[in-house]
Amino acid sequence: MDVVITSNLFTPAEYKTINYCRMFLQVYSIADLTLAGGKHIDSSFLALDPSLLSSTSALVEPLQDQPQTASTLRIRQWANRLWCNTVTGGLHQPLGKWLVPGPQLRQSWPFYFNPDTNTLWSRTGEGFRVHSGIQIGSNLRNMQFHLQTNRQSTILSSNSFETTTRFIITSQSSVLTIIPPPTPNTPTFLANLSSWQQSLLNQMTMEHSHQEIVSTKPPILIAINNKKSILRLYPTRP
Amino acid sequence: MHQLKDIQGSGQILQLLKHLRVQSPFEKMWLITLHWAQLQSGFHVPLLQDPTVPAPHLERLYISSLREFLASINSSIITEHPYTIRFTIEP
Repeated sequence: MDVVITSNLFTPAEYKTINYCRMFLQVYSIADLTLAGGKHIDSSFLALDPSLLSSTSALVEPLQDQPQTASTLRIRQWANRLWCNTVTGGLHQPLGKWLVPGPQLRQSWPFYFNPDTNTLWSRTGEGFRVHSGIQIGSNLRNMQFHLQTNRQSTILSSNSFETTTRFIITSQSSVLTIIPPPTPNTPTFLANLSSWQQSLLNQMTMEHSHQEIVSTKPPILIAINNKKSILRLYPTRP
Repeated sequence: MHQLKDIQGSGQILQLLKHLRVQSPFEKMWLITLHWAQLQSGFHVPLLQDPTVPAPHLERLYISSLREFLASINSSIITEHPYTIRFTIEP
């Protein structure tokens, strides 16, 4: 947002709409919007409709509803002015190298590649599945991996780096299921908080424990109108 | 004659510093408020450390007015553990 604000290209109302879109996508910089190569914007982000193959934030984020459809059209215009060609997705200026290893990035990716073992790591609910390579060549865009694997890991190897969908997983007998990372209001989400977040959470004095709140309460129907039901999770004493 | 804007701004600074320097629930609530404001702003620099960058999209009016006053007197507040978004890629 620093760059957007200092660009002086927008009105205060547009700044707010851009920030709503940013909070909905849960991104902070261009690096969070791009594919792993750092040369193209993830097109699903520009459509305000992140796919399962898109990166997701690993931080505790403010939850923002999806902006209105009109914002989808305008965000493309704004992105075109600031960062990229919205037709090809190419950045006006490609980004440089990542400064931190893949596991330490702010964004969590569905796939990681370990160059030492030539394995592809796909995220699951509990950790990662490790796929060995079929054809490993110098051209990283044409690598293929076995879909079926028995190898699993709860911790991502430190030298892995994030990949995009250019890595192909082939199989004729089964379907790969991509599971997004844990979302708020789940016990797994609390377990994966960073150290400072855990520290802050532990210092808070609450009537009910955080685990108790997120693990035991079913959704409670609080309002109904003619068109749709609204479900909200409200903590109550068990 | 004192300007009301100055009295309000200096009062806000005193209140913030007082609570941040005392180990109390108010300190934690202030830190939580500052962290969430930082997340909502999307800025890479701490909000109170560099108040010169305008933040028209910031929804916390109290912090907005505090930043405006800090910018008007060319000052900043540096907290011990500011929450910031770090760069992850070379520009």
